[in-house]
Amino acid sequence: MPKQQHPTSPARTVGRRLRAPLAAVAAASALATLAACSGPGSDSGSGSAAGATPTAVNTAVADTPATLTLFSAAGLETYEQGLADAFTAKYPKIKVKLRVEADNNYNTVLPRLLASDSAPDIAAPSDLLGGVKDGLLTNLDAYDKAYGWSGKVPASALAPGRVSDGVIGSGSLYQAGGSAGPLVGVFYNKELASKVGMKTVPSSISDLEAVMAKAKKSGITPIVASNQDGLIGHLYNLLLGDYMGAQKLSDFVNHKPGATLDTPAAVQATQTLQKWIKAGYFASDVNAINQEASYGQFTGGKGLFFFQGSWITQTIDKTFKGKYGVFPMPPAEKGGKYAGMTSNTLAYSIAAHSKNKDAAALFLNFLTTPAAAKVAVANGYAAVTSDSAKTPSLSGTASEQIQTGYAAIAADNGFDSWIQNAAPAVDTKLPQQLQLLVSGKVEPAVMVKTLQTAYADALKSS
Amino acid sequence: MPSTPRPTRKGAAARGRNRLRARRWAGWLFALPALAFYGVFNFYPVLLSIQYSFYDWDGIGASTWVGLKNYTAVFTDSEQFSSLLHAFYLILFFTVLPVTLALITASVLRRIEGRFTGTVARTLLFLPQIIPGAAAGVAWTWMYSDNGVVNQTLRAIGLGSLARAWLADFHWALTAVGFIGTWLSTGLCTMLLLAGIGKIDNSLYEAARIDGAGPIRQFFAVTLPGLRNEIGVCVTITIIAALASFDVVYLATRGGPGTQTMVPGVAVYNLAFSDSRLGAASALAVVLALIVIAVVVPLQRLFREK
Repeated sequence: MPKQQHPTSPARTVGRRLRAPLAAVAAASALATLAACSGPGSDSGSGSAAGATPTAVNTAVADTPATLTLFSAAGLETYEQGLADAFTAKYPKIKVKLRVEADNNYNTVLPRLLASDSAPDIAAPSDLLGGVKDGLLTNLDAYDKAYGWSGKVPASALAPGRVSDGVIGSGSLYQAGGSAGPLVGVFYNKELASKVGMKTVPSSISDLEAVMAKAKKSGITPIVASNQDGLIGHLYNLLLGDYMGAQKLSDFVNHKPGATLDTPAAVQATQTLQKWIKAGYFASDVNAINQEASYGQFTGGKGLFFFQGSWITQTIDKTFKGKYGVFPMPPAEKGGKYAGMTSNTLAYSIAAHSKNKDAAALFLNFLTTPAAAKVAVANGYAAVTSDSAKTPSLSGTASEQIQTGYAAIAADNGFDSWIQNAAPAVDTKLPQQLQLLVSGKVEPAVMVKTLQTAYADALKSS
Repeated sequence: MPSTPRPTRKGAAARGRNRLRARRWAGWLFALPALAFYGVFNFYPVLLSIQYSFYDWDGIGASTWVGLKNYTAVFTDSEQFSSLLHAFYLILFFTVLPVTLALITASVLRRIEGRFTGTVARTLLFLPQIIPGAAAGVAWTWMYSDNGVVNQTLRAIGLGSLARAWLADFHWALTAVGFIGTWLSTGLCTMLLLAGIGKIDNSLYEAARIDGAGPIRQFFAVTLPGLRNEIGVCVTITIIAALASFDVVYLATRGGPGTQTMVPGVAVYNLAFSDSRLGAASALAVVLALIVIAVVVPLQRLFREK
């Protein structure tokens, strides 16, 4: 800003001379900053309306050479590379390149990356509502019509990708593909399970508690978990689903008007977790353990149960294959309904900034095919087929158990989601609250209220 | 340059002044690349942060002006406010302990200087300084774990009842994190103070000895006053490290358990990148910067005066 630079007269002292031009530059840039925009972000429009909502789409792109970038997380690299390879095998002209980010950075990096000029073409944002609000994701309605996804993919698999007025579940499609997902449930160490005499799948929470009490008595740590990163949250979320019911929990995550976490059922779920903590079912230093360390503890035989998602098979199979099994979280009461979190691992979004939207849509279409489902199943995910067995059992391979467990939850319409997905602020608060709960520093009712407040505040400001 | 020509008295004087003026501007010209970098990568972001701090903004979409709301939140939101208190507690471990330890070690090392043991001791002490804080954070999480070196040592010497998962313990986590800082900055302080001691005239020590001063008296009468400037540097650097700590804390505990070890650096990161609340994050960062300045500037004066 040379115009505003008013140097001082030469007679000034050295210190003054130094200071004055700097101050001039400062004042000039401050003025420029404040004058240029009324507020940050107002001019960044992030993709014009036309870019975010294409109307004329082309499905005949299989023979046009293109390179797609898929934004992947380290823990999913094997799986997503598998999808990319299968896709390129079918459409040799189109390459899919993975851009891999560390698991715990994926969600923090993604929004900024999508807003940049070098946005990846394909990604799976956890904050779908934020991405839609900021115009970072492509409205897929035109592609849906062209490829007929709504006709061939189960509605329940596409619903989590639909957004209307800041609520997930209906409206325009922003995330689409096939239908497969992880089973989040109870992984168990086979050797320790037979030691404590667990012969059948526990059919209720009290059944599960009986097994854990037995394990504790015989000197076996009942639950392996990591809570430096708040991953007791998987177990907590399963309990919430059990006591609140999958529908109520989903309403909360999806921002359904009037939905709240502050319910007696949620408090009861929290109390159950507190009871297990007080009974010493976790290792004493669980608050200092991170996910990698917990994998080591489970595969090292340091505990009986591990409440986790079936994505862990990609990691623990390397050393522990055949030595563990998995069943879905038992219902709160015997004969009750199964509930558990899942996410559609075969559904992706297309960046609004993508320059290869048509090719990216072809990739999404590929995800609806059996070839893609096969890759998912090979990587520990479950895809429901009409002939799946629906009764969980302790026999069979872990891979088979994942399929039956998933089918059992599907049969009860029991899929819900992680409460962290409700709002980024909940994602920050939850690990802290879980650490407080482990240390006996917060009471269940207060914890539930705190989470609800974080959620309500986040909704107010969005 | 002022565009209005100044009335000149005598040609020669004017020419001389012109040359002087030209030289002055040549200096600025040389500094220009550095200044440009400073402006673009330091100064401009600072201004932006100040601007953001008055808005509600998720970093991407539209923003709303909220006035001082983000600043009041710094002092009313218990999590943000307690992070500031934690930062001050860390000064004890990042500054007070290391400087004290360094003074003692430096005085001892002065006596064994030149000998092999002196060199070894100096190398060992300085070693933590070349290890990145992030790596130290990770290494210490292992040492502090339930079966880590710290607890093994405690059990070996019969203090097993004190053993605990240090970083997961509500009362001890912040102190445990603080000791990582002590370990990191003691070496640096020792080196700085050793260099300072080397500059103290040996005749002062001789004179003190002739006057009958023992090692302790020598320390207080000669070493300590002679190190005034170096101590000032140590204190300044380490206090900034304590108040603006991020890497060690983020890797060791992420601010947990609960928010027991939450420091402003980690809180700013959480607000900005996890919660997508750029405005709130900027406000806390600005407050932190002001606090650092408010603490460091008086200290500078204190240590500079003779």
